[in-house]
Order: sequence, then C-alpha cells, then structure tokens
Amino acid sequence: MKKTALALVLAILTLPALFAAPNFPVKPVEVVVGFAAGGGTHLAAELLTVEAPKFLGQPIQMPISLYMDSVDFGENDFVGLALASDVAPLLAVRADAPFNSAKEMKDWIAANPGKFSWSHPGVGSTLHVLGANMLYALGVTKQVKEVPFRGTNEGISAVLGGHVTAVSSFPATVLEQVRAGKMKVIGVSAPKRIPELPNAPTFLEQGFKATLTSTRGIFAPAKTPKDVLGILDKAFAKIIQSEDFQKRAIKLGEPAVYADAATFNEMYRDQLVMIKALLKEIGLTK
Amino acid sequence: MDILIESFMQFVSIQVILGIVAGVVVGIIGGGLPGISPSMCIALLLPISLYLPAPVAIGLMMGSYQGSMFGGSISAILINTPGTASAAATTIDGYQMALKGQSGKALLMALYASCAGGLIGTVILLAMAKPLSTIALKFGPPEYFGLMLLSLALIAGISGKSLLKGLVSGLLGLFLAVVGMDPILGTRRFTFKNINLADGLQTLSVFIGVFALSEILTQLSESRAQLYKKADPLSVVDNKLSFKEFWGQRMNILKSSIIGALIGVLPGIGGSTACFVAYAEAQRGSKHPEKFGTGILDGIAAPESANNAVAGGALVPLLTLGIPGDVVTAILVGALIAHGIKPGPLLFIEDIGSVYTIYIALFFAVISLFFIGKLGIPVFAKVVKLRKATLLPMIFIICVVGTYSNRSNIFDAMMMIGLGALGFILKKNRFPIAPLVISFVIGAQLEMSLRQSLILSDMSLAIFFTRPIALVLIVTSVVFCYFMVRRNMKAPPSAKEEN
Repeated sequence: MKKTALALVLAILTLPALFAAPNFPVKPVEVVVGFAAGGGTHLAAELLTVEAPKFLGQPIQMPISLYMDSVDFGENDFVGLALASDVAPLLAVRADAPFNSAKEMKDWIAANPGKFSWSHPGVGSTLHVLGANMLYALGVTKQVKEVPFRGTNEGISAVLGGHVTAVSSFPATVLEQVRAGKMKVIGVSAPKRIPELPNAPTFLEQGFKATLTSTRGIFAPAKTPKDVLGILDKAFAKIIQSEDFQKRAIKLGEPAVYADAATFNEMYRDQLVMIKALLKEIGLTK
Repeated sequence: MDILIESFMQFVSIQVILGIVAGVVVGIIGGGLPGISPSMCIALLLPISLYLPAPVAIGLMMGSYQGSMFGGSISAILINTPGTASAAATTIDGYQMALKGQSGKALLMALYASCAGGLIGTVILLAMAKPLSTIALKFGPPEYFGLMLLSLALIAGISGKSLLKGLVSGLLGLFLAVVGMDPILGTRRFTFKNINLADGLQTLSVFIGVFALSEILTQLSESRAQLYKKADPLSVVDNKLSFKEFWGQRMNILKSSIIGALIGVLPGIGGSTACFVAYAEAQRGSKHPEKFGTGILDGIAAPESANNAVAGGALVPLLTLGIPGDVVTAILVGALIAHGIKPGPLLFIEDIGSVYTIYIALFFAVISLFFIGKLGIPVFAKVVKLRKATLLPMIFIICVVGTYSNRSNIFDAMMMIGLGALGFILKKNRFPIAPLVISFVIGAQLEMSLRQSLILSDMSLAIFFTRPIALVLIVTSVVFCYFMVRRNMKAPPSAKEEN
C-alpha cells in the first residue's frame, strides 16, 4: 500500500541486460505498468507504444500481468525519464451545500463538528492522497470523516444523495454533474485554473497552498548507463510531443504534458519530500 | 414523438439488426463460457464498436449485455458451472433439473424468463427512469447494508431443515470474503504475504470450485459403472416447456423482474445480488418453499428474469445521472462518449434521441435473444447426452481454463481446485453449499457498507434504525428469517427426499 501511495511512480521502464550503448536499443524495450490492466496508467502507457518504433527504433512491450508490489524497491532505485501527463484533482460538493468557497467550507466545518465527510476511491489511492492534501491545506484534517467508496462514481452518487459531503475526484468524472448544476467545485488543486472547468477556482487563488496534481511518467532503473538514458530521453521527447500522441491523449481525457528527464527528476524529488510529509501527517505512514 | 420515430427508424436497417444479432450471439457464447463475464464481452466488443456507426455500436453492446445474462444460465444448468456471476442462483435449481433429465425444459424456462425480464426491465427504464434515479440516490451506506442483510437472509430459506449446517456454510463464505484488502483501511488480511491474494479470492474461483468441481468430485466418488453408462434416453424426455408451465410463472417472473430492475438501479450492486434476492422472494411467496433447491421451474424463472431486468435498471443511473449502475455500464460509458453521447444529468434535455436509441436497442436485443436462444437450445442440450466419462474431464478443463483466463493467473485455477475440495468435503457431510456462495458474494459489500455507516455515525448503531429505508430492509430480513426457519422446521421430514 505504501508504495502505491506515491501518486507519482507510475510506469517503470526496465531494460534488457545488455547495455550496448551506441546501438541501444537492439531489442524491444520492456515497460512495466505498476497498476491494473485497463486502468488509467495502463491506457496512458499504451499510448507510448504507437510511435515507439518510429522514434525509438524498437517497439515497446508491456508484460501487463506483472505486479509492481511483488518486487521490493525504493525511491532511489529509479530515475525519471519523462513526464507524460498531469491531471489536477478537485474537491466537489452537492450544489446546495451551505458553502461556496474553500474559506466558507473551512468555517462551516469548524462550526459544525463531526458533520463533514468526504469520499475517495480507496486508502492509498491517488485521489485519497490528493484529497487528503487539499483538506490538509485547509487545516481541517482532524475535523473531517473519511469514507472510502469503491470508485469515484459511487462516491459521487453518495454526495448527490447527501450521504457524504464531498468527493475527491478528477475533473472528467464530475464534469457533467457540474455542468448540470448538480454539484459545485470548491477548489482545484493545481497551480492555475484548468481548461475543462474555467470557472472553478484553484485552492491557491483562495489562499490555500494545495497544488499537488496527479502525474504520470516514465522511469528507468537508476543503474542505467548515462548514454542509454540520453537516448531514451530524446526518444520519449519525440513520442510524447508528437501530434499523434497529443490527439490520443486528449481522447483519453488526459492531455499530455511533457517535461524532459532533468525537469521531471527535479519534480519527482520535490514531490517525494512533499508526499512523504503528507503521508505522515494523514497517518498513512509512520 | 418525432424523435422517437426517428430513433426507431434507425433500427430498420440491416446493419443495425446484424449488429444486435452479432452482439447477442457473442453474449450467449461469452456468458456461457465461465471466465468470460458480461463485462469482458462488452470490453472485447468495445474496440470494434468504435469503428461502427452509433446505432450499430449501441445495438451490438445491448445485444451482448442481454445475451450474456442469458448465456450464463446455460452452463449453470447443464454442467453446474455458472457462466457468469449473475447465473449463480440459477445453478441451485437448474442443475437439479438437468439431473432429472429436464435440461431442455430448464433452458427454455431460463430463456423465456430472460426475455420477459429483459422486456420488463426495458419498460421500467422507459417509464420510470427519472423517479427511480431519485430513489437510488436515497440509498446510502446504511440502506446498502440493509439490502445486503436481506440477501443474506436467503440462507435461512435454502438451508432447509439443517439450519445450523447452513449457517456454518454461510459463515465459511463470509470468511472467504474477508480475505484480501480491507475495504476501509487498505491493509491486507489473511493473504499470507501472497500477492495473488491481495485482491481477495476471485469470485469465479469460488463459484466454479464450489459448484462445478465439487460436483465432478462427487460424481467421481460414486460407482465407476455410472461414469461409463450411456446417458439414459428416457431421462431426456421431459424437454418441452408447455405454455401452461410458463404462464404459471407469470407472477414470479413479474415480481423477480421488478426486483432485478430496482436492484440494478443501485450503483455498485451487481446482477448476482439481484438474483439471490429474487430467488429468496420467490421462495418466500411460494406455496411449496421446501421444494426450492430440488429442481423446480420457480427457482430458474426468478433469477433468470431478474438478471436480464438488471440491464434496464443499471441503465437508469447511467442515463439520468451519468453514474454507471454496474461493471458493464461502466464500460458502456466509454463507448457512448466515443460516439459523442455524454451520459449525465443533461442527457435527457440535450440529447433525448440518443436515450431513445438506447431504449430501442435494448428492446430489439431482447427480441433477438428470444429467436437466437430458441435456435441454440437444442444444440446446447445435447451436452447431457454425453457419457460422464467423456463429459466430466471436459468440464474440468473448462473449469481450469475459465478460472485461469480471468486474470491470466494460474494461482486462481489452483485456488479453484482447493475450493472444489472444500465444497466436496462440505457436500459429503451434508452441508448445503449455496449459503457459502451467497455469503461470499454479499460479504464484501456487506462489510463495506456496515463500516461506511459506522464511520458516518461515529460508531453508533442508531444509524441503522433512524433511517426509514434501512429500517424497513433490516426488519424485513429478520421477519423473513423467522418465517422461513419456522416453515422449514414444520415441513414434513420427507419433503426434501421426495423430490
């Protein structure tokens, strides 16, 4: 659980044992997806395979039945290669909730102890960590009840039915509810507003420091030779920034956001520090 | 009205009809094969459907949805292996009928009940989508708990005279449901550091092991001569289903379909729960409840009409709220969005034409299911003419391949074999095994909603007694248990053996 809680570690690249640098890659490149087949991470990784032969010279293969949990690894065993997507989570409530902004919600929670509950799709899931981060930024972690549901949709129906106050969700899942006026967004956890919901304010502009987003990226074993990393860095830059990749990514509801190996690694290190502190604060790790 | 006619006219085209028929055929085959669930069928058709025009794609999906709901009953009846989770309840009486040489009759009943259930589900969707979705939202964790409790109460009904043995079997099922990830805390329970158990026991391994494999073992443990005996031609005489027999089930089918559709409306509760509740209600309302489990038509009509009616019900929250009602409709969302249909609260206002297209597709899917099923049943029924020495190894292979293919994991097949041995031991000691399966299916949701409720109420049990719907469901479960137990105790001791 603790490993999957890192919202960040998403797809991992393992390389064939032979690192014959100049000719790399001479064999198909294997990508391990750390999450269930058919899930968001798997679909995002599938996008990489389409143009891999063109830009990498070899196809990408994915043995999807591998469980990431079955191997023991730590944060230093991998280095980032490329950022592939970046989705902002949000906190949404029923349209008739007695508060309209993050500040009002914070005050309401203080005035109504034990009344506020929020849902996420499972302990340790990305939306759990991200949702907990939003509430942490509001400073209400200790005053709210946390109710896991199986999937965001069940959480949304619990909010619509008034059984739970708020849901931690990605924009695509609540978009239609917001458009129909059934739910409203209290805040988006992102540095700036998102194109899908231009009217929804970020927590940052309301004065709360919650900007953590869900990112997916590609990693390589830390021991990979520098020149091989360089080849992969260049190849993934071309794949992710290709028009075809962008088009497919938008269709999946996750517009591609690219960052190269150096930037991505810096981001990864920053987020590690942040998430570690957060997990400790919300009681997921000791 | 114009829009309705316009939507209807889309279906008067050979491509659309072919799409529906293809969907139904794929659905029946997939549903009949253990290991391919209705959701897997739709997931397999999804990539193809993206290249088809919207009405054809929707027809294909609806066809396979209805087809697979019926298909599951074929293997349930013929080889005691529920092809889908929704067919688990059908196994109880269906296989007993097949043993009596009435497999053709049982299959026909399953088909007619499926079609009737599909139609009633569609009508309910058409007439009451909006009000039903409002009711569905009233179901929070305590109400879900009440509903699960009601399904669990069925154990009292099917345990017959040996209530204690039924309860032991039921507790075993609840224990099996506990294995895997804790739904609230996310910690692992009883997984013994084995990664394969992290997601819990696979439903399919439990169903197939406990129902099918234990039956194979039981038959093997009987005399060798039985295995090589040619199937008795006399035993397959009663293969027709008269109109009178069908008509006798009309109230049962109507009631079960309504139960199926209503439970289908609730997000997250699948067809198998609907079937168990329908079965329990049929038994409660029956004049001869003690005959349930011995191979009677009522025991097939109830779950089979309920599981096809679930389809109509599950579409209610999808179309009115944008929230899928079950796993199949969750996959359907992707297909609809790819065709420019946005399921959500605004769909009825902005795109009523698409709503009608879905209704009509569902309606035509039921009709095609009727004809294709009629053609197929004589072929399927041939299975019972095989010698046991040929049939049993074949079923065993299906069991292994089915459980393996679900996650491409051999561990699931091993688990199935282990559970088969457990089922065999239970059977040999006259423990009923249906309670185990029921409580296994119900267990996860029961625990989830119990604990969700307790989080919301700060561990106070009052939450179950202060909300009207939850209270009614809980009281009904208790009353149901009381009457079933009393009736079972009073039943003449020979009632079970006679049938």
